[in-house]
Amino acid sequence: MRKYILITTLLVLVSGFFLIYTIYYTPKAPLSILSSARNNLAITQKSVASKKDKKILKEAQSLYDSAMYHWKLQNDKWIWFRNFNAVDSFARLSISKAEEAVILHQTHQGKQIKALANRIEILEGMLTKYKKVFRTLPQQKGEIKKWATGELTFTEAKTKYNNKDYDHAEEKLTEAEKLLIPIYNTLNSRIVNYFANYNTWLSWQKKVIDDSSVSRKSSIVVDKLARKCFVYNRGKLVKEYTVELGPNWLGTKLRQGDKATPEGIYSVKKKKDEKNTKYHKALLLNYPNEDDKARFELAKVNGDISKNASIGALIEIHGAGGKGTDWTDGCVALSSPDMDEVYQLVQEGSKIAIVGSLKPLSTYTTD
Amino acid sequence: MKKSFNSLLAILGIAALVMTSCDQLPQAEVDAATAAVSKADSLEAAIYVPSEFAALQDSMKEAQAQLEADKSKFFKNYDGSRAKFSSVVTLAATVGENSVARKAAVSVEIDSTISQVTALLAETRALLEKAPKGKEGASVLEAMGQELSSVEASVTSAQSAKGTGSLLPILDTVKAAKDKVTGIKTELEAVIEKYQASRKAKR
Repeated sequence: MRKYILITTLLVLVSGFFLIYTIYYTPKAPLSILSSARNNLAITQKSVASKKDKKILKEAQSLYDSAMYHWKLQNDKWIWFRNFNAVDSFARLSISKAEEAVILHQTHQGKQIKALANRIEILEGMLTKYKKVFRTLPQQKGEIKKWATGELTFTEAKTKYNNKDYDHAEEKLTEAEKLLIPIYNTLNSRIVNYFANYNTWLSWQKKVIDDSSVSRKSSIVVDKLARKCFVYNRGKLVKEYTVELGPNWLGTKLRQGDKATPEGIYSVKKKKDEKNTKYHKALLLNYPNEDDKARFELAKVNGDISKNASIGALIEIHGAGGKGTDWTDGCVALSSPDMDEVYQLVQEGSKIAIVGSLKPLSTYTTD
Repeated sequence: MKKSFNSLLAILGIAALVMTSCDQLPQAEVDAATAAVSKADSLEAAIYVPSEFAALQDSMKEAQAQLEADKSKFFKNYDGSRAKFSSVVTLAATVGENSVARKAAVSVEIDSTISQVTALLAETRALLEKAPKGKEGASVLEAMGQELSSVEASVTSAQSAKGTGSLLPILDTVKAAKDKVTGIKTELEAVIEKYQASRKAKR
């Protein structure tokens, strides 16, 4: 009897000891660390968006996965033989990596946003200048189409930037820059080189205005960029009119058929009334002048034009304009009513200065 | 006495067996949740409802952690894990539905924007014809015409791409096209209004 009581008591005590030891003293999984690692990953995933920093985030995820894998391994063992050290280590490493990803992301993103904002500002400046100045310049159809595509791509880039989708904004911006910057640089060079003659143009203007004082004949100054024609009498501005030119108006005329309006000082060789011109009324200029001839010969020598090219003639200021387009073969066209007025104001022998611009380049490029 | 002792041993043995025996691992629930998350992924939830999908993935991670926590215990009880995996299945279904709905909404928005752009293009081309002849003349008008052609090309390209990839970049493209045409139209309207006002003043 005593023996059975003793054995029973021993069994109960051993079972009790076994139970207590198992519940309270066997290793426990690091639940709070794992929970922190999981929460850290979730928070980091929301804030880390850039491709560069996502690589580190993936490492953090991989470390968490390793922690879970080791946890599974240990759970498959008998409870007394479990060891969660590896689980704890991997979980802590995951937390550390996630924190590193956040710090790196904040640093990178700050730089990325600043760089993007700068690039957007530069492109916006280019677009503004294009609209203000370059749009009116002669361009090839391909250039205009490419510019338009570039503008659309830039709009998409800005939308993505405003939506904080910085990686995609950067991609679109690079695409837009590849389209826009080469065209911008070409047009900018073209117009900057064109304005190298600015002082010469001003001197021509002065000369013909002074002539209107001395000769008592009216003078005309044509501003090609502004598409304006100014009539002076006795040194004073009398009237101004809108004009149309040849489509290849940027630069001076080199040869017949180049559709360019020449630049220089000319005089009215002959006045043509309605019976003598199909353009309502016309003022025939003495193109080519000596400068034109010298330029033409040099262009032939340099191979810029064919040896068989002709210098051209019959450059006039005439009517039948008002079409709103640069349509002439190099002449300066006014609307017929305006031409009626100019025809009355101007005489044979009157001086004409055709210049690129009377205003400096900064007029067109400053906001 | 011996019988009582044997009975007590048997009771202790059964008790030990009961106490240490596992509640069945909720494998069916785990598989169902895994399949549900995978289905939501296949419905492009990561693209169309990214924050919801991220929350779904978090819920799955939490359920998996709960499972391991339950497995760690001496007295196993998987009721907590089962509940979490069931929640994941429910959530995954919702996320999947939301993704499909969002994708459909984006598709409708693309079609609607394309219609608006097409109408705007027609109106703007008509305005180009009416635009006054001024000092800037056709060089600007021609540039505008080319810009409109680029918009048309962009919209055509977007329509073709609609069947092949993600709709969100296509939506961005057509919205940019709409902004561009609206800008050109506004510019032309302002020019025409100014011109008409100056003509009235001259009279």
